[in-house]
Amino acid sequence: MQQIESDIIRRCREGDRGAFRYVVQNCQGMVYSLSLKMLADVEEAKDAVQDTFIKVWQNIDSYDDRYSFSTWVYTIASRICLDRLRKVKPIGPADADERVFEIIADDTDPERRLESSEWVSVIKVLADGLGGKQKLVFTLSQLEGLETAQITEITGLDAEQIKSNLYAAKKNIRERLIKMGYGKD
Amino acid sequence: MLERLKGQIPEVPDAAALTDSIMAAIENLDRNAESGIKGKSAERIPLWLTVLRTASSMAAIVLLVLYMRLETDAVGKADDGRAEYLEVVAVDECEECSPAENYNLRREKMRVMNERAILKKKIYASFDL
Repeated sequence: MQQIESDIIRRCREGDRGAFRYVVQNCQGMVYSLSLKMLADVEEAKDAVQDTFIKVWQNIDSYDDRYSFSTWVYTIASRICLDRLRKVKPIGPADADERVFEIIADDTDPERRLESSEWVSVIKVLADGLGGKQKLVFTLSQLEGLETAQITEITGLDAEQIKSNLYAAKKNIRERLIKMGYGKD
Repeated sequence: MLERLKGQIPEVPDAAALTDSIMAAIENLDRNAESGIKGKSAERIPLWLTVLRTASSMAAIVLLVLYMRLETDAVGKADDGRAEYLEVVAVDECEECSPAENYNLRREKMRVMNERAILKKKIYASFDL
């Protein structure tokens, strides 16, 4: 896999758009996932995916082969999402979002896969009022399921900073859920 | 609930279209970059203009050096070949007069020439300025 990856990247560096299409096809899912969970807007997330891959194409020469390519792509995507969050005025969850959230929270089916629109509602309810860094750390750690070492590489935050941001984010979310009547669980 | 959501990757709506739009954006970007490079090369300064600029700069330098040499040539040569500083030639007002009398005459002439200035001075003095 590593060999294929480095070969594909070498071809991208030589300007091979076909090879880059392969990269886009393989990585756009994870970039879209991060963008959607950060921005809570399908169209914004798609724009962020496009911006991310344009940046990847423009800066492919600066990618250091010693690190994981997906981590590097995640780093670019997370910066783009943070920039977009700074520019867009946050909109709180609507009643419809809370209703969708309640349905998902009450659903006990472990196999249930959420649609993009459902993700938007869940994120709007969960992450409303979180700061950019808190939201990023929470998303990478709790929603994307990344390890602390990877989050450190992506965000540039050390383990302590990740821990404190995550603690603050969880506290904020817990308080909101209690207000909504979900108790301490 | 978070445990159930952890690691779930939402499906990209119309993934193929998104890939195509990304690739189209990249192609546009490359095309713009190429046309930008071509544009820059078209704007390159022609050779004749460069030569003309160099020649005119050199001519300006020669003229400047020449001017400086002529203006600062305060050292002349005496009959015996020794270098000596050139003196400012003052025209004698009276050939029979002594240098001191000539000096006084020149001063007097200058004073008359500066009459207007003196008059101004007097006027200012009368106003006690």
